[in-house]
Amino acid sequence: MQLENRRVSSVVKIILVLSLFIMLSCDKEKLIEKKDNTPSTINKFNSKKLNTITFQTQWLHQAQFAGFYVAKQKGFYSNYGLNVQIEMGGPENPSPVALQNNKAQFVSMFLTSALREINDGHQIVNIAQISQKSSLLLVAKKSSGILKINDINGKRVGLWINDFKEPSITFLNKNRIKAEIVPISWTVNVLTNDVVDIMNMMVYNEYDVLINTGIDPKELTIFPLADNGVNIPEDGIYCRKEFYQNNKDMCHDFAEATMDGWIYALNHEEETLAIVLDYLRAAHLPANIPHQKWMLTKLREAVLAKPEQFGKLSEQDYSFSASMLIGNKVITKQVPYAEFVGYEATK
Amino acid sequence: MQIVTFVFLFTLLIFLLMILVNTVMTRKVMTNNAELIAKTLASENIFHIDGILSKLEKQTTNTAYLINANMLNEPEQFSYIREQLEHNDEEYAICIAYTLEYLNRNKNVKSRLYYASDSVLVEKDISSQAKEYHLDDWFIIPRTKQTAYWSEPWIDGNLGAQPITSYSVPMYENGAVIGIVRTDMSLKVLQRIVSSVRLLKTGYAILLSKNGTFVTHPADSLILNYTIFSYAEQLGVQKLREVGRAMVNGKSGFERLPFSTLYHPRWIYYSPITRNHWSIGVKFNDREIMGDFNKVIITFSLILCLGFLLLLASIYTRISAIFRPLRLLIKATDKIGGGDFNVELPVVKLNNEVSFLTAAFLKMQSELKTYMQNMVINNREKEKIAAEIRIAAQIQQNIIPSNQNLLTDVSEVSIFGILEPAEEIGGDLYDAFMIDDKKMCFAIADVFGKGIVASMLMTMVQTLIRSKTKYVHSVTNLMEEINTYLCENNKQSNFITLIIGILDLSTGTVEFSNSGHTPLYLRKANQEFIRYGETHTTALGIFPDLNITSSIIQLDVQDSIILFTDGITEAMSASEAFFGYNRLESIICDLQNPNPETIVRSILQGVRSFTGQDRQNDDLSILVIKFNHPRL
Repeated sequence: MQLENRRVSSVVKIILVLSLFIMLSCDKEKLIEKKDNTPSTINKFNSKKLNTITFQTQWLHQAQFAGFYVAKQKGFYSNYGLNVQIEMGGPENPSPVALQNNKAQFVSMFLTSALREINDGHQIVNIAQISQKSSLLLVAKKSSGILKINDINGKRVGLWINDFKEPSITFLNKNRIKAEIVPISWTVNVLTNDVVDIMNMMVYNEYDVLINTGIDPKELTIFPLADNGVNIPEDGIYCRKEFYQNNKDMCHDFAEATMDGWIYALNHEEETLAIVLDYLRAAHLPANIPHQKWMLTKLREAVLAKPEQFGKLSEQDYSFSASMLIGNKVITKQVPYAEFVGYEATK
Repeated sequence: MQIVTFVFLFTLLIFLLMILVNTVMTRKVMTNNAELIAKTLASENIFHIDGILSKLEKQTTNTAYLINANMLNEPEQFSYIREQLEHNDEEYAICIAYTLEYLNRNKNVKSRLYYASDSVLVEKDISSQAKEYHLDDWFIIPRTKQTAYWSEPWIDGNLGAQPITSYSVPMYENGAVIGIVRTDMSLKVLQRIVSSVRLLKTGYAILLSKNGTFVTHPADSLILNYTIFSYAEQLGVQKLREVGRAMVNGKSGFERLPFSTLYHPRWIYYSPITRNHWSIGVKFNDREIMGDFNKVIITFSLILCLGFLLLLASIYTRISAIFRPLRLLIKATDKIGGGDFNVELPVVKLNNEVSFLTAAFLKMQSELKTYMQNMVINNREKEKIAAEIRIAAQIQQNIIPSNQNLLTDVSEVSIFGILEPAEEIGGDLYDAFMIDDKKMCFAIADVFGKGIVASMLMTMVQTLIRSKTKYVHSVTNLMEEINTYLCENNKQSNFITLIIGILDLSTGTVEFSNSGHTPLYLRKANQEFIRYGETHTTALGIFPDLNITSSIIQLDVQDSIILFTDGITEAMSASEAFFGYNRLESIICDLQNPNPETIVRSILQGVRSFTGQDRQNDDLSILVIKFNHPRL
């Protein structure tokens, strides 16, 4: 059995090396080096028993979490001795709550949400950073009269009620915009029906949904936060600090395996889409192929935005994000970078 | 074959054009008809759906009014809603939901959801969900806009997984919205109506929501998962997106889409359901519309092709039937041209131009054959005559004394003569012979005409001269005898010019008589010459009783008598000038110590040079007699 495991390990290594080779030879964007494929939990790896842990997405199943699905599907987690249960989050099942309730050992979360959690006294650790740039947009119909940032003054700004709104508030504060904030849920119909003049959107999700209601990009005014001084990275993997301190190896393995999953996902788009669609169908969610494809493409941009710090949050990005939130009074306190992340900073 | 090909291609082109025009026109007509059918179908369904929506709107508005006006207490409200849901199949659930603020202000007010479960009306208090539902489309949009609102298809977790669409009407208090009355309709109601639409075999209708979401479509995976725009993106068809925009913007139209599969027919007629801003599209495949027509066209084309092949075959056979004898005729003509007049001509059974041509050719062949046979006979005759003429010429040549035999044994004179007939046989003659041991007779004559008659006459005259001189020694008498004979025996009335002379070798005296002949020249040793041009009578053989005289000249030693026929003086150059006497005399004068032969050859060469080697119109005869010394 040990021999078998070793064989499996070799196969996975070969797959990873091959995918790395393809990645390196195909695209500059794919220049991501995987320094160490060896699981740190080698003792567990050699034992037959897998550690069962739960990971919860911060939103409904979609290509935003492709790396997690692929890591599970392709056996990257089990290769690290992990049996990962992937649970679906969403507006009614927020991942920070799941983390605090210990329903999930690992969750994905926006950096801003994580900073807010810490601000609220919850001790959590970033064990990997998936997104390296902001995918958030503020989108208005030109017919609302919003053509430039100042036009937002006096308008109704639709921001998601529960989560993800901090960067947008930061953007508005930074630009000294006085506008009516309208809490909205997750549909774009409030924009198409002129309930709000401008609203939050993720470029990989709601923006594409909006375009697929028949509105053309030329009819829209778009403010990407990344281009407007609020380039706060988003999705990261978090766990409770206590859990991290007791299970450092497992946390590193989970992070490693997940990022391996992302490498594979970005290099095997068709296969990844098929895996994502399986999750959508299983959850009875709309399985819209072009939308998931669009999402994966946009995620690719976010994940590979800073290849030199692939999988990690840089101290600079952390400091920028935290100070941005503090400066705009979204949060009031923060922890040092070294306490916030569960790995060494990228040099 | 070229004709066959040309006719075939031209006819084919015309028929193809006809088929093309016919196809285009028919396609237009049939497409128009299909559009009309699609339009009618869409209109019927829109009318049907509009009726349902209208009814639901009215009932929701009424409910909102009754509740808003506090006209119903709780039991009445329950009864009223139960009655609504029982009697209106299209109504799936009714929700009366208040704003958070209103609920907070009125603790006794509840937000309620009514729906049937196992034929029992369930009333569910959803007040605790206010925080969530006040952000839902069905609530926030009519509340903010303060107007009734038809929702996009959605799923209310309280009602299970059934997709619904909801009509929401705001309720007011003091001008502010305090809540929403919402009536839900299962999408199945609309799906049943629209899904049942069939146009031809594969045509169908689609129902799109205001956002372009597929509410109905034959492909289940698209329903509520895709909008027409995401589908257009997946297919990569921009035109579909444009059609989708027209549909969600409430427009009607008829468009041809640039793709075709089982689920994606090419044509779509679309029209809006104005009440909820949804849209119905009726799609059909033009291949199907054109199906029967295409079958007709294919059958027609096959028959046409078959017909054309038969036409081609028959034209080919016919043309071949016409051209086969023509080709045989051409071969026969070649053979006839090669001299085979007996070649058999093709038999043409048909009565056409080729048969006429063959008949004419047959006649020509027959006449040509006869002509050629006659020609062969004639040629044979001609050859025979030519052979005889050659013999006659030989005989004539033999009659004229050769220079080897021309009194070479008589030392007193040297004689040299030539006779070059213009044709094979001539009419000139010359002769020189001894009459007795002292006297020598010489003669030169020119018979009028050429050929056989002239030569015969010449032969006769020579024989006469030779025979007469045996007993007649006077030149005048000789002339008379010859003239008499010729006049009596010359039926063709040919005449003759003649010089006859008798030289007395002992004295050198010459008596001669000239009957119309060219002059006689006497060349002296000192290169002088005397021309005796006087004639003593006319030509012989015409008038029987002539008075003939003669002249006598005395030769000195070395004198030469030069005699010739008019072939010399009348020899013609290329420019049709006569050689003439002057040139002759110039040659005679220029000769240095000549002998008869050199005189003859000089004159002949002069004439040849003058006329050119190949030209000779008349017999050329020259006779020169040189007196060497008297006979002692």
